[in-house]
Amino acid sequence: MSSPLKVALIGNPNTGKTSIFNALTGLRQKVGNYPGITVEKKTGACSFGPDLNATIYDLPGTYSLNTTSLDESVAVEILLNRRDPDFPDVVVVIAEVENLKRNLLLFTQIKDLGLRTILVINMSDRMKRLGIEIDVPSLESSLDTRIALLSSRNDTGIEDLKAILSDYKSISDQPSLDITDIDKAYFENLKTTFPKIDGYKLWLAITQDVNFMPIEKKVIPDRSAFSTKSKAELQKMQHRETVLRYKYINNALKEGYQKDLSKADGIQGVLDRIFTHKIFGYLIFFVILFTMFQAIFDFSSYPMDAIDHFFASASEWIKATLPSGVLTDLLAEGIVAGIGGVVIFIPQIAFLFLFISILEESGYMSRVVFLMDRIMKPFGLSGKSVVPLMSGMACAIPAVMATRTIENWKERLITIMVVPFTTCSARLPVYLIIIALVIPEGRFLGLGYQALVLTGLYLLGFLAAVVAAAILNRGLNIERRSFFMIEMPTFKPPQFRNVAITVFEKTKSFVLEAGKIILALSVVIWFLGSNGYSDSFKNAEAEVIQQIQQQGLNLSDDELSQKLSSYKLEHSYIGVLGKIIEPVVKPLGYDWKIGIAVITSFAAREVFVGTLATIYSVGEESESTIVGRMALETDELGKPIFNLASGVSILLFYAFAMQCMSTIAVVRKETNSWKWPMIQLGYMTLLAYLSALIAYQTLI
Amino acid sequence: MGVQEYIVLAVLAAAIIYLALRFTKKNSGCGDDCNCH
Repeated sequence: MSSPLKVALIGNPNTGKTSIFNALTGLRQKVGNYPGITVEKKTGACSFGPDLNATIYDLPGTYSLNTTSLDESVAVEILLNRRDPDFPDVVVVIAEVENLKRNLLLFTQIKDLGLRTILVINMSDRMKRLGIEIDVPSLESSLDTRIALLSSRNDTGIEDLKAILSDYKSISDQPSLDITDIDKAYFENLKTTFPKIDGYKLWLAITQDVNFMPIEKKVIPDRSAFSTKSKAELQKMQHRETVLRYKYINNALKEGYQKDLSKADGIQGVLDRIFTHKIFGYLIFFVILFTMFQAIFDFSSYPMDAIDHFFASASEWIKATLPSGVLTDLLAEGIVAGIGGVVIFIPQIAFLFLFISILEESGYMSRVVFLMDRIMKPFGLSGKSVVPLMSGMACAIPAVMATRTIENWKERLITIMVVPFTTCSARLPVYLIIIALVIPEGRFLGLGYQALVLTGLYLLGFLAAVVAAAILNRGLNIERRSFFMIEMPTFKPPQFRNVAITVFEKTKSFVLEAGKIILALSVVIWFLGSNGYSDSFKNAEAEVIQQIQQQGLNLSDDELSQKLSSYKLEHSYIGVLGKIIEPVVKPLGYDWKIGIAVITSFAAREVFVGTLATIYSVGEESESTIVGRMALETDELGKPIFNLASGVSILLFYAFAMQCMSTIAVVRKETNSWKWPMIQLGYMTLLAYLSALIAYQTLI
Repeated sequence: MGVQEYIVLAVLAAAIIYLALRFTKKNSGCGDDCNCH
């Protein structure tokens, strides 16, 4: 069988491109990244009969071939480069029936590249409601292409598209426009200087806002024949090109496309006015947002508890069943616990993306972005940063992943850099235990101090994110092209298939990418926590028993084993490390035990409580007991370790510190570099340390 | 050292090598502060 036909799907955002990709490929999809960059690459397989298989490429959505974002430039690079392994045999341009005229701009540009180009007019089910009539044969002849009228919602037209694709050789590859009409003399010059290269391709490469990676830069030997243009002149020529294209499109649509607004119904307009209203728009958004987070907390708490219990029992089962030894310990405490640490995030990630994709699919998200852009802009953020910042309250990992919708690299990077400030659910156990220890139970104007402090910590996180964004916005030396263009897709009920595929892909991507790093680090931390080189570690059992005998205590087996594990931890590599860093954490009001908890909680913040529980030799199930034991902890002078000063210091430290290797892993993945997560870790830790230091030294 | 210890050390070594490779992976192009944004 011959090699599969390569079909690229391209179109403006919100034209239903992904739905058509899903309909063509089903679950035979692969999601990866384009080499060297973090733009998602989606390919899938499709068969048009026994002899014709195709690979379908879902190129990132773009309004034109004049690119402004990384996503868009990927599409242009592939279409320009015949040597690219993904270079398509056929391009399918997906347009949407309501905005056909604007969508055709991209179509004419692609046709001018000399590629076989098919036009799909999607959402044809809405034609009647919008008062639109299309004469397909007439439009096919005026645009010199084949057209499939399609409704991905009603599942109609896909077979027509497949039929056209299977007859791909008959499709025209002639350009729509004579590109030299833009400026005859200039294009003549281009032709003389680069006789072998197509004029329109050269024009595209010259006028891009982004640099293409694969383009070789050569010095022109004889420049006398070639006149260069200034940036302003080039822009004027681009405008002339756009005018020429719209002239061509208007002519082509004259006969084949009729729109009679008097036949359209008006519910969409009313909905738009409500959802983008200056006051009600924001109110509705916040109600939806709070409902969403409440639901995420409520829904995911059950599966998370179940996962937690499952891994706890798996760990116990391994210990009980396998012969005792280091390998069993590695399996039970390192690997199973590590996998558990990855899997436990799945419910939150899945629910978050379920809600986000429902909001996106329904068309509501575009209204939110439009609403919030005005508020966020002064801080260097975009309207699209709102969703990640809010998602960060559940967990920074899906939040960082949610920044992918931000086209502008600078805005996306700033959002990624500040998202971990928002109070995630893993901080909650730390906050709760410390607040219970150091904040009195009294009330102020009917509001409990403890609840007020907790609310204050949430606000503090959000404030820190916004302030840090404003600072980064000034400090980051990345040019920002600041224009805001957003499609207002019509409201429509979300399609289950698209929602399900989004949830599945996002979850899989987290488990496979960030999961591997978390697991590897868990193994390392387990090793450091359960091994040591000192004699005290090696003779731990004998020394603990001797201590107990000296103190005349009568302990149960459980208490004895907890005492032993606490003693071992103290003398393990991590314990020794805790003692070494004690001088560093001492000014913050922490002893070496809290120091260890700070180190181990780098795996995940909630580990802080678990580590303290182990160190203070109490089972982590009964938090009140931990609080009780922690309250009794005293320093060498007999003063309690956990007092208001050290408590506030810990709270501030956890409010600002990055302290989460999963977030570091996911930031590494999303920025495709270790540089940004390391800068983030550095500045957040510094801020955390300084604020904790100031708080402790002031309050003590 | 018994077989178990060797396996544990091998797993630990694999984890460290994996992390080291991820940390030192050569990055090309965008996602970093290159000119393409």
